[in-house]
Amino acid sequence: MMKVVRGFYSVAYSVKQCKPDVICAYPITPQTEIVERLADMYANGELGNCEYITAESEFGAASILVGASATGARSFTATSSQGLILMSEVLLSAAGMRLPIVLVNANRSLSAPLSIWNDQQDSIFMRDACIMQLYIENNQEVHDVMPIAFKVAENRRVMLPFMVCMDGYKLTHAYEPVDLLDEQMVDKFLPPYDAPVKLSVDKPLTFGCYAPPPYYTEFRVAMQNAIMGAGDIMLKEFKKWYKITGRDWGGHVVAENPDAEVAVITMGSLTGLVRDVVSEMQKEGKNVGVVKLRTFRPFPVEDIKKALKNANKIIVFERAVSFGHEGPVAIEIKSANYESGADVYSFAVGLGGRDIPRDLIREIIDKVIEGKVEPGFQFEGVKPFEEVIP
Amino acid sequence: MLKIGLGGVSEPYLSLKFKTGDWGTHFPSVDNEKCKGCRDCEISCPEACIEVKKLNKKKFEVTFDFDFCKGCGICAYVCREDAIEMIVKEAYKV
Repeated sequence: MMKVVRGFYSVAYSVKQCKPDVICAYPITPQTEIVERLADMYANGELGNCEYITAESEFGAASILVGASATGARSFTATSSQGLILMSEVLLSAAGMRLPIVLVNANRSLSAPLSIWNDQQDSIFMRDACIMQLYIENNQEVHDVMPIAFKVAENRRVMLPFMVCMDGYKLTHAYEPVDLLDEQMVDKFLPPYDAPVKLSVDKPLTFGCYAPPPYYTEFRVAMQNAIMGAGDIMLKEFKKWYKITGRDWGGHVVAENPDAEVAVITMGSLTGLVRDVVSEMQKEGKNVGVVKLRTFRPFPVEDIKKALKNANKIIVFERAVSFGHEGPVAIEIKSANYESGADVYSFAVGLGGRDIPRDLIREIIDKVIEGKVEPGFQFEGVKPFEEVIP
Repeated sequence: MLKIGLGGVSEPYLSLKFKTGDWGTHFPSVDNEKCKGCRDCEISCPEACIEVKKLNKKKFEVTFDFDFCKGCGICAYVCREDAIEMIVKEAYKV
């Protein structure tokens, strides 16, 4: 059923069709309306046996979900920015306890200075948490990805949290036509969660027990194996989803013009604009191509190598900064594509919700093609400024 | 081969199975002749491992559960008859 809905509703409706057992969240801009829509559904009795819990903070919300997930409940939350950071302590434990919590992160910049607008610093910060991260381009994609997220997270060989990252405002507040999922179809794709271990009153268990030096490493190796193996499982589920719905969102990496000598890598909602600019440049005969990076963790090294095998100049549009080094996506691209020796140009754009004009993207790509910039990291669209003592 | 539980899940160590009596450096020793049966030690023990039994009108017997006594010395401190003495374990003598 095609409907024009906002990003919030797109997520909420898809989550409803996944039949979660426990939803627990704390409101934070720009995520709030996702859980508000779910709360509406709960109040209207549309969520079946689901428990909707309002927590006193994101830390509380994540903690409640850890407990819920340990009892074998399918659990969901949505958060953003400072909320994700407040959740981080619990989420790191959830990953270690191998609890398949699914969360949607509405990407927003981090404090300080306080900003409620969009960039990807918050989820990038959670890079090393052993939580799968998938970046979303549009609201139909996020609608389609939710059942896949639950299925991959709950796979017995994975059992890890899954974070779906969608750009705050740019997607969450945007109205887009979305083909809403059919209940029977989702039921067929996503069976109820059958937890391998269940915490109950009759069977007390310790989750994430104390591991002294002789055993700790083995637990971490098991986590690494699980998240590395999750890549293939995700690909299989993407393909299954394509067969069912006819909508192909591609694999971990979508190389739209694999022969291009200049590859432009983007993540999230910026891809649409870049694609537009690049196709305009292709019409002018320029050998440029878009590479859309969907999965950030586990990092798809082989897919990146394949997508960039013809590229000798790689442009990365960063929506976050690894302070003290460079753009976080460029770091990963460089390490994955080390053998090719291609030059990597990384540009931080649109931090804290600053607009990314079409002309700026065009200008950057032109600059790189003409060889006017050195490879490396730089900020783009920066005003001249001076730091003063107030 | 080493077996690790998924997510570090394990059955909790019940305190009955997990003895903690070897943690302390001291252990209490009682002179039952001095005991007047006030039971201060029994109610003050944080590990509930002291039992005061009444043998007859004047005689009491104090027993310690050394599986769980950590030698904190509260019983010796509260005893108004100075019937309990804390003794250093052999291993901790310098």
